[in-house]
Amino acid sequence: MSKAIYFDIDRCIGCFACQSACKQENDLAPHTLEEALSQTAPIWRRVMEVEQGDYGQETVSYISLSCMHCADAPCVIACPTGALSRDKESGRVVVNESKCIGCKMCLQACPFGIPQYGKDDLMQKCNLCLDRLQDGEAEPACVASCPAKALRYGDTAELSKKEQTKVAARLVLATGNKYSAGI
Amino acid sequence: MNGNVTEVLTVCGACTNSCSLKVKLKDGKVDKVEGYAKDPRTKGAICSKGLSAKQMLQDPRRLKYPVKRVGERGENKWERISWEEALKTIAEAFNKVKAEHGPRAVGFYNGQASGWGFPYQMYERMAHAFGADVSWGTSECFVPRVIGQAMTYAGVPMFPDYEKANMIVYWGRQPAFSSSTQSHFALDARDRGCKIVAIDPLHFHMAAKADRYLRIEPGTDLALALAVLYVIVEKDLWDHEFVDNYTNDPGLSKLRDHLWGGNSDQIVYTPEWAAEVTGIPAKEIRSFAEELATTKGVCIITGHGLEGRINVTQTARAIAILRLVTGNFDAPGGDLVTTMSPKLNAEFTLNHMVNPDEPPREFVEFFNVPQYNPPECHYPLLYAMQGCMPTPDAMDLVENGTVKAGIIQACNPLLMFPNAAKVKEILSKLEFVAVVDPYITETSIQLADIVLPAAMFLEKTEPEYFQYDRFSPYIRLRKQVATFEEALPDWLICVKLANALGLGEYFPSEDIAYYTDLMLKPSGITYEQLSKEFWVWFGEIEYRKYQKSGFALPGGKANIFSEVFAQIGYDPLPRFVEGAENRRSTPDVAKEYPFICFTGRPGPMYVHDQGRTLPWIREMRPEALAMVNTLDAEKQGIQDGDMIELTSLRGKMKIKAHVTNIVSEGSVYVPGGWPDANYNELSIDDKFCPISSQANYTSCLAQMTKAEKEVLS
Repeated sequence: MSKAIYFDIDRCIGCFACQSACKQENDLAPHTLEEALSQTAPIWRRVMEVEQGDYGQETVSYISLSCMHCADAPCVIACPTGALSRDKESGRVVVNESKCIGCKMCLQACPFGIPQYGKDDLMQKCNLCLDRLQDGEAEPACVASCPAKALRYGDTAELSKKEQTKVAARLVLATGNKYSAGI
Repeated sequence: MNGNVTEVLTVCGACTNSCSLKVKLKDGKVDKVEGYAKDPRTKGAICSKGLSAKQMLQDPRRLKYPVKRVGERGENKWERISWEEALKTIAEAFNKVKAEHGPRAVGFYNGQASGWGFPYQMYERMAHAFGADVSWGTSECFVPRVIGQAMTYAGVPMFPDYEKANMIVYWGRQPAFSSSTQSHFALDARDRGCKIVAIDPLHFHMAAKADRYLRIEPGTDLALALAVLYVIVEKDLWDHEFVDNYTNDPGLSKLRDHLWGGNSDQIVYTPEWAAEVTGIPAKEIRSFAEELATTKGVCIITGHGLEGRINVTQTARAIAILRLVTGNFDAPGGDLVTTMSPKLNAEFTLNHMVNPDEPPREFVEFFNVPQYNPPECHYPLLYAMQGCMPTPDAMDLVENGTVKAGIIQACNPLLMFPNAAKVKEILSKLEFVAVVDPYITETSIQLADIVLPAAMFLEKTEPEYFQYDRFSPYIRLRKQVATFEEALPDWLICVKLANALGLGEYFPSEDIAYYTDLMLKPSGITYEQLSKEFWVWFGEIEYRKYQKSGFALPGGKANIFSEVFAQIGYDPLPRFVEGAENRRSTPDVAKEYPFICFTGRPGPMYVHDQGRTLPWIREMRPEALAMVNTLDAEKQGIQDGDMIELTSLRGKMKIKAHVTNIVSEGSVYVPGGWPDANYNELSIDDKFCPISSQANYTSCLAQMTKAEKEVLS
């Protein structure tokens, strides 16, 4: 059973912890202020603020975006050198940097705009905290840090059931729970 | 994994919320800073600030060793000196001033960055041993809210009972910014049907997730609170049992009279009146008030959004009264009072050395302060709560030449105080200035003769009991896991400087265990115990403690009518006072400066002016962006990303515009703490809350225009 990170848009309050957790865990650039200001460093997990609607009807949401580790990953199909592959058992899409030629076909193919490129211009991205989990930690760094518990990690079946349980409870609340005792 | 990995539990100090951390060390060097899953307040969460702590250890912009100024003030030219020479220079300068003008001619200024528990007490100990008071500290924030609440129910309920709450009201508080590691409690509560309400001029982060969002004009929260009370009294939705038995206004006769026009302005605080002031429709105020009063278990979590205006303390009072009349004070699902520090040694801060006539008093609170009021202090309750000279008085003492030299630790007044130009002019009168800070700040550049490098939180060992959200009765030890060049902990700098000043008898050791044990003596908690156990609890979470012990206030009851305020001459019931500058209070100013220009926190990743040099977080928010409403932007011809110019009666500034509906029409939001886009060029420094001394520093009127493109010559 493959594992995945579930992002709960209803819980994300846009605190940006996941983005820095990812930076620290993977020791990503920027390491200097100049690099930070140049806005060119790779970002494996990015928090986006999305504002929609006219004044008075506006909605503001936060999306924590990273690689979806697609089962039938367009980046894997597009990669001409086989640098990208998906490990069926773990569900991880991983990049072998020694095979990558930096052609950016993966960025063309990815429906989420995820692929990042470092100073060497080679592709890099989230690997679901491969090293961290091998070291015995239970969750990827972004999930473990999340203050709102908006990011969750687990088997997809488990994640789905947990979410449905929550939705079911909310549906009951929405109907006013009219069959409760006393009415 | 390669290398020898060890883990150390410590306490974060990136802000004052004090989350537990697990620091992973590889071959003895800090590798990762993570949350600690067994912390009951965080459940493993950590924020972007704590997660970037490792970069504090590698920041080339930090001050590495003591320096002395070699150019003129403002030139930013420094020369490395030894700790010994630095301390000797400061001590000689201070002792000379002391010999000629007395100890109070030296100002001891302290801010947030070093923390509020033990480090503040050590600073008090040093200043008091010298014979002087501590100055400013948090007179700028937080304590005004403490005063309003302490005078109402003799405590500060900062432990929201999230698990039992059925409504959580974030009032001027953005949990995504200042206490995100407790946000999971509120979101879990919502999953079981608890309503979330946000009262905020900015519609984003948690406010954008709220079930009810009230967009309020900045600075008018007091009007809303009074109108909510009006509806609750009018509809008879108040808790008769609690009010009649435990408050000094049984039947709410005084409050009712006050709300129905018995105040000195003869204003009837109806929702219709409040709608005109706050911009929130009267119907919405009524609906909110009724829902709040009929919901069992309501937490009202307030924040800095209520501050920086002249009505701050009365706003905190009105909200405190709201907690009382709805029966949510210290009740299940409401806001609980917890013991906020272990029993502290009343003699630790050497209060008798600034005021020999008063015996040490024994009680537990945040700040162990002298029980008297210095003659130069015009805000006795501010002094009583924090033991520091209020900002306006402290500034006067410099301006009139009473204070001639000073040490500024853990704060940056030249950037963070309102009316930057005037602050610089006044503080430049100080003949000698020492600054203690991890960085060379604007304050150092413009004023300092000597700058001492302060350690950041991974570089110091000290006890920590202070917290912010979900203030829980335990104390932990912050543990040193790294060193940075010659930087030293703030408390150790106090020890060394005190010794250089000839006060060694009060600072006989450089061992943290000595001071920890001395401060905690009456509690029985020891340094040894803290270093072994990590958590030491000194209290329980209990409901309705007033049933046993009453309220430590005049009459032994909760003071809806404040006896203390009445004695001093403040309004004993919260009377509405308009902000110092807005369209109603200063309509003539509004003609020329039509926009409400307000400030506050710079985002989830920054505290005050801190963190701007840390690459991981600077990348997320590289520059200051003012929020400009879409409709205003259209009228003024401003597009997203344009530079705009903001002008107030006091000054002007330039900043890049973010065109958005997060901010309301007619308002502009300028995030605080950015040196190159400094709101304090505009802000009001000379209008004060009469109770707390807080200046009206977060809101003023301004004109906004698109900035002319600068032509390069």
